[in-house]
Amino acid sequence: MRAISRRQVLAGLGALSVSALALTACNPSSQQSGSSGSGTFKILQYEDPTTPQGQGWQKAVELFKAKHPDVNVDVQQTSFDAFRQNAKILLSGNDVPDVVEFNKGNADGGQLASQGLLESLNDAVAKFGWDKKVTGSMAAFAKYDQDGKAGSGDWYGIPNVGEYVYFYYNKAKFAKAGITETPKDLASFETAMDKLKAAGELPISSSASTSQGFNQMWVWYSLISAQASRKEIDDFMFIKDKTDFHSGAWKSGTERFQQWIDKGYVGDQLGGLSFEQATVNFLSEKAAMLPWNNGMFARIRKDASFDWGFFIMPGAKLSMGSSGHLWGVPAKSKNKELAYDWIETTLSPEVQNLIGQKGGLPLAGDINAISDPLTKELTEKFNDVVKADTLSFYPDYPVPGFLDFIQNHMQAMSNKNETASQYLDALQTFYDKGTKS
Amino acid sequence: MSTTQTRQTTVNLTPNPQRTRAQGRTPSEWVLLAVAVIAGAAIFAPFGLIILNAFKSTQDYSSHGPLSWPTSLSIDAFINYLGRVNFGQAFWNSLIISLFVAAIAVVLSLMSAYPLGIGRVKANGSVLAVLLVATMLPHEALIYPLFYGAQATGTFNTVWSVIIVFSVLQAAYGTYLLASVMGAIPKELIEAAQLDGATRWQILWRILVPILRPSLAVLVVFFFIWTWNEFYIPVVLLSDQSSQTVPIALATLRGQHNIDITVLNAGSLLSLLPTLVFFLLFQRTLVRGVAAGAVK
Repeated sequence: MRAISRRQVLAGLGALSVSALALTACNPSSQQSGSSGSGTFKILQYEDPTTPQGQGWQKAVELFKAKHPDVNVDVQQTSFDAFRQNAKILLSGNDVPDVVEFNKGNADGGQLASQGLLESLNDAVAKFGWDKKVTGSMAAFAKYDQDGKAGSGDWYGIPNVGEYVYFYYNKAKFAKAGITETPKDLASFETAMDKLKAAGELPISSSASTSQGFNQMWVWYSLISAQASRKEIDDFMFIKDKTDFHSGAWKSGTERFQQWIDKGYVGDQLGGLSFEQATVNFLSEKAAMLPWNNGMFARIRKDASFDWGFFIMPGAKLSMGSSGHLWGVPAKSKNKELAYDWIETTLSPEVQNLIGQKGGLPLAGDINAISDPLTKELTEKFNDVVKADTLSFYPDYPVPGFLDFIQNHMQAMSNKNETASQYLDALQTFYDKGTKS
Repeated sequence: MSTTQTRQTTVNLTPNPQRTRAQGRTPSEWVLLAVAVIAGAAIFAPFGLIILNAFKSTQDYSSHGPLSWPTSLSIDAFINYLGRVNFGQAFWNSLIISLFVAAIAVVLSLMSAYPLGIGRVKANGSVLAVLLVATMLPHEALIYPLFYGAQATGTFNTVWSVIIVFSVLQAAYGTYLLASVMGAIPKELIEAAQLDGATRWQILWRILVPILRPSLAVLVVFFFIWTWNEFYIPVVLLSDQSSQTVPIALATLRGQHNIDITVLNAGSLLSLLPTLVFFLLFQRTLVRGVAAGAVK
């Protein structure tokens, strides 16, 4: 083969640049989006369109378009991780979305709020009366102070839905082990798990991989919450009075967690398992219970080939759960009034009731609009814990980087490389350092 | 031909007098074959798992786990994936970005490696070291300047921002590699060409490029696959869905607390095919390049 001549190379480069021009020419939409005028309203969110909330928002888009026929509504789908990673960069740019979905907590929403990237929603909350729909623990992570700490200060986000953690259980396995009624307190829960073990069943399907193995963390924090007072959790969560991890519910809960590991209630070799594998182990009938939140409700309903039910940690004073992700308005949004109207649309009865019928636990939905009994039961239990103000949120909210820290220690404890006391020592150090202002 | 001859020689050398050539393989060859088969199976395993689970229904996956055979073939996962993600658009964006980066970065590497590897540039070692550092820097450290650069040039949210960034980043590695390879080419070859009156351009295109063709082909394949798989920089620079690439589209399938494995597998399978096809296509030219060198 002859070597390529200089002319051929130049011709090739020329062809490249010509096709480059052609590409730009035939793709005008991407050019225009660089300078979105007021005619385009851009919504950035990361909710799977097949989830109850995702379906509700599709309805909301329809309603919103009908209300504003002259506005070009551009709904952008991103992912939870992608938005978390680049929210700060994206929102500080020139071309920001008009309304965004963001993650609650001091590490995410708190930082965006304290860095001035999100608009304070106080006026809109007063105007639309959102504080009537979003109340108590559901509003706790919607407000942030100047330091980005949740629980007080201005409103920066508005949630649409809630979520809570409970145990899904396999009714056939409970019957086989001779458990006639669902446990009512921690003691009878442990007796039930002993019976399950005696019948050769693994009581709890869990996971503790540092990547996505959240089940153990949820079991641990559920055990803390079960014996904690409202003040203990609020002090920890909203960084009020000093938290001593070697006392009260923190100590007893973590010690009980270690007993559960030692007694084999949660299985072994959890270090490599993710929540997805724990779910599959439950659904393929390798374990009697699965601790997870209502996000898995629709899947378990569709995929379980056995009779199942669910209960919150028996006899618990508090239990895990929180509001869903939040709607926020970027400080650089060019269409703030439209953004407020969008949030109002997602809180409208049509959208909220649709989310409720799909099992999405709406904050402003009518329980009587739900006809399916199981979905109604799920929603009623949730409404009860919200009304009783007994939700303890998720444990990784207070300090940036907390999730990775807790996950590492959950893995170490599950592998029996760390005792409850060692974990509490590390927890004290990390928390004190992270919350020192 | 030469390869088969070498193999027959080794057969003769093996200490097993009972065997003749016609009887086939010796024990050591069987062992080697077994090792190759095991290695092949190990390499294929992840792809096998993706294929296995992409064709399952979610019920089937949930009740029998990832390792079982599908009880019935289902293409729901593919339908679901194509319904949730604008795959055509993402595929087109990825293809454009990867092809342009592969082409531009290889030409750029060649141009910049020529003075460093053949010519006499002062402190060329330090220049190469700086280029290596550029490839080793974590992308997180580069992201703010790149973001503001893309905004200032108006390329933010267009494929061009990513094409420019990766052409430069990949070319830094390519320059390092090609400069080292060029350094190993005998100086006499260049001197002979100079005596024959070749200009610098002619030396580059008529002497070096043919010699380097296998290396260049390898770089094209690598640059294409690396760029195709890039996630972090594209996710920041291409926030608009109309300019997103395939890995970003795939990531939108993962929620915080939920993940649909069968859909993710179907999506991964579709996203993986182009890199596989590209590799197979270029593998032929790769092998041909190596063989051509051997004959000379």
